[in-house]
Amino acid sequence: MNYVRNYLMLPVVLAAAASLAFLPGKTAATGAIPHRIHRIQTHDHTASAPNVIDGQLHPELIQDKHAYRLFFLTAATAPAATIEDVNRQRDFLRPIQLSESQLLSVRIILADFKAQYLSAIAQHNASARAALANHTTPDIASFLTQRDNLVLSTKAAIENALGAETWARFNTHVQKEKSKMKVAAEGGAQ
Amino acid sequence: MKARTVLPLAFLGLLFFASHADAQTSCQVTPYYSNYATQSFDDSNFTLTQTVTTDGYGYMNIEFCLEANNAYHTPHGVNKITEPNGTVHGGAFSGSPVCAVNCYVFAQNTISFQGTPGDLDTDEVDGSVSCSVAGTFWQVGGLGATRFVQAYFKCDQSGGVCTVTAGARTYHRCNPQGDACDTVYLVNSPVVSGDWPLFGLLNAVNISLPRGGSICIVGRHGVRADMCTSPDPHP
Repeated sequence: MNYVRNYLMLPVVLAAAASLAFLPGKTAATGAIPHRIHRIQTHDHTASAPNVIDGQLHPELIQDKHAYRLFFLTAATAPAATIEDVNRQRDFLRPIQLSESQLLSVRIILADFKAQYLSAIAQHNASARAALANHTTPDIASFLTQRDNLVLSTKAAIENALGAETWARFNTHVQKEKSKMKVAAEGGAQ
Repeated sequence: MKARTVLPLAFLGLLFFASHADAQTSCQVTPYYSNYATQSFDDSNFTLTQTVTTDGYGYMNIEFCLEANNAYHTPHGVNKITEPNGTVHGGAFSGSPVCAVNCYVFAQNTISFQGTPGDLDTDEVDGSVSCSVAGTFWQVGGLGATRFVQAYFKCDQSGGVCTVTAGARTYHRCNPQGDACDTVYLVNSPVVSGDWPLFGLLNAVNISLPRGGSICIVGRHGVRADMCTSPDPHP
């Protein structure tokens, strides 16, 4: 009887094993859309991004460090700003009601922020290319720490330059702007 | 009997290992990108400025992915406003064109154009990232609409004449249209004189968002009005 039962189990076990073998590979983070470079023909080039927080629907889920980064990058002018750049910045920051001297302070701080941000990206990308050549994964975590610290120090500098009352308006405006942002949900790599 | 039990289990383990190894050797990217599209409005000449920013990175463990050597990622975006007569302002743009798979991308584009009061323009904002091997693998955005408005407003009097509530004064449209410009909360005076009139003919832009809803930006070059019964010049 045991002999018969053991041989009846064999096809069941083989079927289970075969189904396991054809399971898709585990993705790098839950909820992410993987793309498999060596399976281009079957890859789904989807136009949606399910691991993105839509600020129009859930502004409360967007972390301040992301909102401030995107806001600073948009508000900043180049170090050698044109009259048009300055006027654009003035219009963009108008809801915060900055005085001319406050506007000048913010302009200087944000121009420095953007220059440092772009420099940090260039530095990280150079290391990413070098890592790729050695078949290793670059250290994204240290770059993200550097990026987020830059945002924090810029925020502190502006807060210091504006004073508590104006800074409260600044913060209120950035919180409102979250509704226009779409930010990746954080995963293991962040 | 032991051999008859162990052999199928060993086979099962072998196939499971094969499936796991496939996951490790595949080239999978997890996208961590952000997108921000925002507008400002200078109503002295009805100029709308729109900036679209995309930044972020894709995370991939490339130690088992030889194909990654030849791949690069490029950020793209669309920042486009189309007038009713077909005139197009802005369009598609791209960021850094050569960037290794684990690089950090940044792309930004700003357009400005002079709108016409009363016009309803089509507004397209989009952010995406493409892989040179696998194509577009991350994309957000959509179509919205932008209407340039010149309309009569009345300052809210429910708590007194045009009082400040939470740092802003509330104005209601005299002829509501069912959008975000029907009620606006202003921190800056909407008129050239810099004061807060009870009635005003104000300039605004109503921006409909891709997922529904809208935002309204009121300029500061409106004029004082005497009443709230006239039809809007450009609703």
